[in-house]
Parts: sequence; structure tokens; C-alpha cells
Amino acid sequence: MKLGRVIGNVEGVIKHPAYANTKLMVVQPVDEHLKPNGRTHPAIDTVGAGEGDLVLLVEEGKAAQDMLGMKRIPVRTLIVGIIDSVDVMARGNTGRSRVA
Amino acid sequence: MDFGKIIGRVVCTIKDPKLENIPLLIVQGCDHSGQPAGAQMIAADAIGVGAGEFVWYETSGEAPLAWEQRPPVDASIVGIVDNVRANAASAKEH
Repeated sequence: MKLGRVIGNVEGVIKHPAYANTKLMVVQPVDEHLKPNGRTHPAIDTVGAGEGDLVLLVEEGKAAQDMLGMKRIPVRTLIVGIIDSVDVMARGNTGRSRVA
Repeated sequence: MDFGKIIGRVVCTIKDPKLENIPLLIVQGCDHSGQPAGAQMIAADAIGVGAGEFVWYETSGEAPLAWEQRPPVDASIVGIVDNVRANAASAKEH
């Protein structure tokens, strides 16, 4: 799974039926210090995440099928959680620092 | 799942029968603003897309699930982006 920040949403009418009534967000992957880290990409929201939320991303088909309740769908990228806090060990010292 | 721009297509007559009449398009991976990012690839078109369209596509083992016959593909185009509302600034603050 990955950590990402929701920075917006995607609208599209012509799409595969599996995406029919889903909420597609734009996610910016972030590193442990919540800095942008990699290419923005779409993800289906299943927990009501909004712009600015730090989220938990899963990229696996079975999870998508369970969450969307459909079998055999070309879907694997989902937002499955909204992150409350992130605790990270600062590099090189044993103290823990709260990041978010 | 990723954003991509259709930049061309390939025609392939001798191929796995399960690939019959599935358009094969050349896709340049992009970010949400359409800036090229990531690789170019051949993606199978599941929804009927034209050249130059801005799309989203799914990869890996789920890509073939857009068709009954489960063609041997690892990237399938599953949506055309009409509009992206994004505020990249919200990625910076934490």
C-alpha cells in the first residue's frame, strides 16, 4: 500500500462500466515526510476522501472487486483509508517525530 | 492506474486470437496536468478512443478483465478524461 495526498478529482463520461458510479480522485504520492514523490495518478475513492486528505492507497484487483462488489473488473487502484497521523523516526536518531 | 495521452496506434495481424479486434494504441504516460511522465507503452483500448485523447488506463493483472476473453494484455484504456480539477498546492502543505 502507499501514502498519497488527494489533490483533486477526475471527471469522465466515456469509461468502462466498472467505473460507472465511482468517485475518481487525483492522488499525489508522498514520501514519509509527506513531500510529493512520484507522478500524480487517478484512484477510486471508497471512503469519502476529499481534496487535501492524506490517504491510504491499495493497488490490487481482489481488493477492488471486494470494495466495488463486482467480479472481473479492470480496476486495482483504490483509496481505502484517510490517514490521521504519521509518526516517523527521524533519520539517524532514535527519537520519533510526528509529521502530520 | 495512470493518466496517459494517445499518441498513435499499432496494427498487428498475426497475433494471439484473443487480441482479435481490440485496438492497440500507443500511450504516453502523463501526470494529471497532461505533462509527459513515465514510459510510453501499447495499451489495449476497451472503450473506443481517438488519437490525442487524454485517458486513464489500468495495468497489471487487472487489465485483461475489461474483456470476456481475457486477452494477453497488461495495460487497458478504461476511461477518457473530460476534466481534471486539481490544486497541486494542496500537495505541498502538511
